[in-house]
Amino acid sequence: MSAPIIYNTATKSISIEPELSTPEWEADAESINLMVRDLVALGQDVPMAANACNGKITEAFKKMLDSAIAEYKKSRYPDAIRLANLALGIAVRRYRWESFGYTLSEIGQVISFRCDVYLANSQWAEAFADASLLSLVIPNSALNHFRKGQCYQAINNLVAAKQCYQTGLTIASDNEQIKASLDEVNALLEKV
Amino acid sequence: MAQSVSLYTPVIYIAVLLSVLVIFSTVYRKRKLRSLEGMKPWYPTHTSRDIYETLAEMAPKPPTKVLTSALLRRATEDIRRVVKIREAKGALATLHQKGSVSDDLWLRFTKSEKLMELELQDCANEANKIKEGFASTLFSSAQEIAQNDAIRQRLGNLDKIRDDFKKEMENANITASKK
Repeated sequence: MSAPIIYNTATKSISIEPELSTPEWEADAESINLMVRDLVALGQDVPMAANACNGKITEAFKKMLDSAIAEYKKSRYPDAIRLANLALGIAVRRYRWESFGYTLSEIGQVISFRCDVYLANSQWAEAFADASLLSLVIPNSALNHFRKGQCYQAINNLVAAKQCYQTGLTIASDNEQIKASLDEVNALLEKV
Repeated sequence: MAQSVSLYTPVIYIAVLLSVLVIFSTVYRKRKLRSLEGMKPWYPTHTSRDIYETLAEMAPKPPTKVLTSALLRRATEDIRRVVKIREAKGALATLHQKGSVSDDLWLRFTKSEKLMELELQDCANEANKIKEGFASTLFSSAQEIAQNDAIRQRLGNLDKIRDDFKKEMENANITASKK
């Protein structure tokens, strides 16, 4: 089947004929155009092997995350969040054919950090969104479930908080912080 | 006195038997092929494959980088489908054995599996046309792209999760104030 595409020779990009456009076609066109841009930036006709890593991105990411951590230590939460967002932007700029391991590691680091800043700043909804993502993509980390539980506890959803702490304890049964939080929630549930 | 049987009788018998078998086999195969042709495909569309093929048939040909990107997108979609088919196979096979799933559905599934194999083979051939040896890295790159796309998509959903939680917070506050 012929695709309803228009190829622009000047910009080397494709677009979909407006009258036949669907979200599926558009997503394909957008993804292809992004990869063309990445290949042009790479200066190669085909991508490098998946295990090759763009060192510049790694370095820039580390610097940005370190700056964000420094701001957090000075209790400058809005600045720490701004820098964490910039670090996330750098991590997301990595070529998509590079190993997912690098992306997951960097995104995991920065989202964990940002979630902790949000928790320290009592931004529960933002912290919950980050904790949800973390518990989904890195489910074997007890801390991610603990973070999610803290958000639930903050809005008094004690049952959900208890479930999160219990999940955390199935992964790290000797984590004192989670144990203490679970005891606290259990005590609160008894009062209800 | 018994009549003598002609020497041609067994030959004619075998010829008739073989003809019947050939006719039966031809008709049976044609019917089976027609039923397979009429079968609904597991995946009705493959937009990224259509885009790649349209680009590859264009005159003049687009630059290699454009074709590579389109092929990577096509291979990424193939990887997603292969993963889904593999995940579904075990459960579907069990259901089919128990009789919970019809033979038609099982046939559709196995047909889609074979079509996927052909599609992957076609992708590999196209990759080698772009650059000799590219087929060896195409699918590993496509797999990484599929995973990287998935996490980017999840990052894009963070706003919705945050807004839903805010609503839950508001509801919790309303309930608390009522108490």
